[in-house]
Amino acid sequence: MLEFLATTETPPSLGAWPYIVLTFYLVGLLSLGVISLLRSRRADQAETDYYLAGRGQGVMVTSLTIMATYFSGFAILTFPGWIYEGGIAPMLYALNLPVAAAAIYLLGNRIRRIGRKRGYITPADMITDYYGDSPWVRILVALTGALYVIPYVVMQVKAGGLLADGLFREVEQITMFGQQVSMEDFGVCALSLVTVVYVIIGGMRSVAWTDVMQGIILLTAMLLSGIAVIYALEGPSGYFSKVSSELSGELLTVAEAPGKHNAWKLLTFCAFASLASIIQPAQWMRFYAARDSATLRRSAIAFSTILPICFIFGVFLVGLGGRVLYEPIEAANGALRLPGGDKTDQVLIHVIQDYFPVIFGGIGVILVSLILVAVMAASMSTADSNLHALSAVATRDIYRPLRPKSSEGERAWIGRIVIIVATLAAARIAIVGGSSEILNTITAFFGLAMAFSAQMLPITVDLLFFRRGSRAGAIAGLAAGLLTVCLFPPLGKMILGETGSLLEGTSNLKALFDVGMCGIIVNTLVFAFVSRLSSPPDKAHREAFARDLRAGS
Amino acid sequence: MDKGPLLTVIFLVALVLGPGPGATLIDGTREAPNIWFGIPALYLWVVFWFLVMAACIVTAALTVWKDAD
Repeated sequence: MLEFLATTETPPSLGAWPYIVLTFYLVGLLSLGVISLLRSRRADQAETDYYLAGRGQGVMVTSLTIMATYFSGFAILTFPGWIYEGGIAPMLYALNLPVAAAAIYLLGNRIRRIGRKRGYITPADMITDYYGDSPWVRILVALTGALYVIPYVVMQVKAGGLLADGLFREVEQITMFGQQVSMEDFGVCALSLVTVVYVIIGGMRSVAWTDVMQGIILLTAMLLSGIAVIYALEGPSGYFSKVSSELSGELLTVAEAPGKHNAWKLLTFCAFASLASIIQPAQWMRFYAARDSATLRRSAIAFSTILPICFIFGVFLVGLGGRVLYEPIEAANGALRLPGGDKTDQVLIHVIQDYFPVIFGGIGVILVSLILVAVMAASMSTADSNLHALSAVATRDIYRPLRPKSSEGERAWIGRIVIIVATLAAARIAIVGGSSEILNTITAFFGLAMAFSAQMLPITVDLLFFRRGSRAGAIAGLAAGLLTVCLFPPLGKMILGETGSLLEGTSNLKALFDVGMCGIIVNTLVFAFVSRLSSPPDKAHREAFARDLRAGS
Repeated sequence: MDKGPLLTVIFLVALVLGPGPGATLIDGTREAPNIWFGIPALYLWVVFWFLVMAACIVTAALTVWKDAD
């Protein structure tokens, strides 16, 4: 994903439009941050307001912030690239979206209800409240969140720099504080600065409002790019006629296992990765922040319909139609490339740059700039949500236990410092980047981020629905699940070496199934076994928890 | 059967058949992929199961899930 804008060919100049559109976009983000700051000054609970926007977010903000946090640059660039290379089969991954939509209500509403009742802010608040506060539970839950959040922040900041480089191709270097820096490094610094400013000043409210703006731009871009490719292939009938007649059968069928995008991989991804993404810390906090049940119920409707439509009738068509429009070439390493040598992730960029000016005339150039900014928005909306969640995890789950007497205001400021430090670290890693060991390690963790997040599923389901597990079981299950995921490549290669029967086994399993599911199986077995051997929380506590989860409470 | 369990069963069937092995039953072969109404069968399969799953969510949200705040 990181190299999706590493091009070898210079596309047509967009003139001054990228500068104008980007300026409007960034000013819009900062304005929303300032408005959020003004709103939050009236709040009497500093921490709850900063992290959960006073638990009062309505349906439009909730649904769009969940959507914008759910997809990153992956949705608009990597996915069409997969379809360009693999054909229709990867489109079946879109069926994970209705599963996530169901979880928004079925898990999210219970999380929201008890979170409001008991004043939770982070996932660990809820889990330690139920299983009993212990440093091990809190650290493991915080670690699980961090294993998802930290790689996402670094990779999205890095991606933002590459996108800036792609947007301003004519500019090779720029002078910053008297030093010549590449456009990519300048992009990393500028986007990090803007993101950190609006996250710091406005907290959740600012992040969610900017997500609304970014989400609307993104969804529009996804649909418009679908229209462009259908136009390029002479309308819907021309599109499907050419796809059916000109593409090989390999691209119109599902690969047999263990081939890439085989049916078992698709099925287990849809069932488990969807849930992993929906219970990661940033989404979990969005459930706490929702105003009421109706908000999450309507958000589930929006999520299950709008997002898949934008994929199935938008960017997916770009990947498939792009394969008809652009005959791929094979690189020296055997990988497919677009004509001119560009990575396949750029097929959407090629389509819009080649066809938007033809379809939309003069306004087409503006739309191309808008879509390039939309891709940037996808990265920023994921980075800001994760930065904000990281700040909450660091202050609530690590700082507060160390300083139990700290005030809400103090913790909110510590959270802001965490955001600055985390952003500076992410920008530093992204700029040093290249082949540095630390970036390679973070890339390996990024590859398994969703699988780590999925390990929260057994304890989440237990405390929301069954309440049979014990604290010892939760600790053992979560630790076993996280360790299992660590054995899978690419992280497994770093731990176990390049060869070995264990690594061979996990590599084979990874080709067949979702890694998160493999971890969940081990996690659940260990959780159930250890829980049988130890005592669950006392009955009165479980009943009180169940009462607070119940409707109408 | 009540609406809630019925929708759950339909949704789970859609989840297993849609992205799962069901897709391999209708896509044809590499040599002769199935084309229905001039459209690759696998694309219609994606659209169909998306509509089924989305319809389950929308129906549940409008008729089964209750707001009890």
